[in-house]
Amino acid sequence: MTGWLVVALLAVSIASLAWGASEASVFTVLGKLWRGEELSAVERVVMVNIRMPRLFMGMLVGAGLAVSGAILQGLFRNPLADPGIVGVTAGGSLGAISAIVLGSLLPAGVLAVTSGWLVALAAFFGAWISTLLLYRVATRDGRTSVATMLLAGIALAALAAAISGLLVFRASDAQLRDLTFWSMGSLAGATWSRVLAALPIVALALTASPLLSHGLNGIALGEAAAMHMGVEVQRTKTLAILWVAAATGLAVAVAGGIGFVGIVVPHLLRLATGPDHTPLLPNAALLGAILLIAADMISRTVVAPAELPIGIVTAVLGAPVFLWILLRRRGLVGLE
Amino acid sequence: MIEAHDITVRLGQRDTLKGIDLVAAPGQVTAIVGPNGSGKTTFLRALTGELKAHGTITLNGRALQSIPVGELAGLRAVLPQAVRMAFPFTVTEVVRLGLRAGLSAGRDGLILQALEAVGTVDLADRPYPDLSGGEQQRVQLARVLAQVWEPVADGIPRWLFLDEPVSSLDPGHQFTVINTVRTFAARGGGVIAVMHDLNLTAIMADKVVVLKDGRVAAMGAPCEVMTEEILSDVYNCPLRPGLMPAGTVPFLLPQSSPLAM
Repeated sequence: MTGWLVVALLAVSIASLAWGASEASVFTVLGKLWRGEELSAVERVVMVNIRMPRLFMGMLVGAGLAVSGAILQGLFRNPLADPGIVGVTAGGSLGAISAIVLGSLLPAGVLAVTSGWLVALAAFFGAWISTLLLYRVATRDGRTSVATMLLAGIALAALAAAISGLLVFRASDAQLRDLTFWSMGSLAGATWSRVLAALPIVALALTASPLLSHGLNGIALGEAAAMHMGVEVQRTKTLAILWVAAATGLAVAVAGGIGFVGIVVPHLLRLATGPDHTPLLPNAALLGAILLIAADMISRTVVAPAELPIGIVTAVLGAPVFLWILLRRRGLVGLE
Repeated sequence: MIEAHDITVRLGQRDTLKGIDLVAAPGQVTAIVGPNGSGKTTFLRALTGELKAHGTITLNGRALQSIPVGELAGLRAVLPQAVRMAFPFTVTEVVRLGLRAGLSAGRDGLILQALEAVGTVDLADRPYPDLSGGEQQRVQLARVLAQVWEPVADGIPRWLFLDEPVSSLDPGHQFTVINTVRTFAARGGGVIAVMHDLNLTAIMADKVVVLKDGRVAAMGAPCEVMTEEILSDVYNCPLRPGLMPAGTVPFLLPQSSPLAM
């Protein structure tokens, strides 16, 4: 399975480099490189400075969101948990908006150190706090109530949206412009420096994944059973929540709210290879990357030269899957 | 050896356990019985370290709290009363989770052997959430067995903690499971089981601990504690046990209750 996903990722990456609003195509570029010809300035800019960073950012964001979904679902023992649905993304957005509107109030020294990172950091903290709150509200004695989780998610998202609204209301014109660009939710702003800034977070997260998969497999049996099977339950939960906050915060900071990747990808993979988290987490990273690159291709080609926000594309693909799971597994939501 | 001294557990506003002492030896099956709400499951959870308890508990001579959870998983396995799983793990995958947690990780052949030990090989490929309550109980028992497959490893006995292991099973599977549990003890492992059915307790256990209101009401071999005096007092109704013809295994029939007289 993993091998096929790698092949598919390569294929979709090449396609993503090949298609776009500009005429420059990866094939003509490769052909020129092969023949030793010089690339035109346009080709160089389009390939190297626009499409490639965008492709890599898409990979990072897609992988992060899909693995976040799989981890949240493992943590809550529930296939319906998704950062977008349970309010984690809204918390991250509130963090990002706070940074854009209130960031200038920070002491100059802090601003100098965090410049470029401030929105991402704030989004991380927003996502982290909302995940922690959600876990506290929805989980008692290691058991999560689905209804409480979904309802708490709605409440958290509403609260975050209300505070975000207040902040937007008092934002200056320049800040409003920044907010508008940020909230359009697109990978168009991807640059090499941003990709490089995101890399260490993703690298750290990927090293933590194997530790998490053993713990999450244990937690599938319940927290007490996990402890009896040698899982450091508290450490697993802390790590899982930090992971989700980091990946969701990153995704929100660079691309705004992108929903449903975290629910579609793990669900499809569980159908194919079962619920064991050991293959699930790495495969989710690959399929998440594939899905987001594909969604990005759709978002920038269907109405070219304009762009659809990528969140619209993922929602159109993902919402029906969410409903399908809900209908197929009614027992989870107390309908059986 | 498991030694528990002066175990007190407070749940909510009341003491669920009030100063319980217990010594359980490897090579034996120790059963905990008592009326509903007498603290059986709480006691088991305290012995496994799942619940915080006042008092001291040692496992194979070491303080329970001092053993890291990873090491503990190789020393003992715990069967809870019922386990719901959110994701459709197959039966084989569930048992593999137990296998990976123990010292025999990697010996995949043990999965089938563990399923065989509880009479459940035919379910190997079925999704766990689709099974009946009794079938799920057997699968969980197979998982727990796979975790501590060798009753003695490097000369150190390993332990099974079972919370009502046969409560949802039909008589055929009850005997299969009891046989498996007895074999585990006969090969040097230790077993502590919370039991509901006194007749099955009498044929499974070497030692019975009777709890009432969070205290030990009686402790000893089945024929020592399953007496008319003790049972009638503990269960608060007149009960008159009989003895099997061989004279050592007590039994209790509903027909011996006042209703049938």
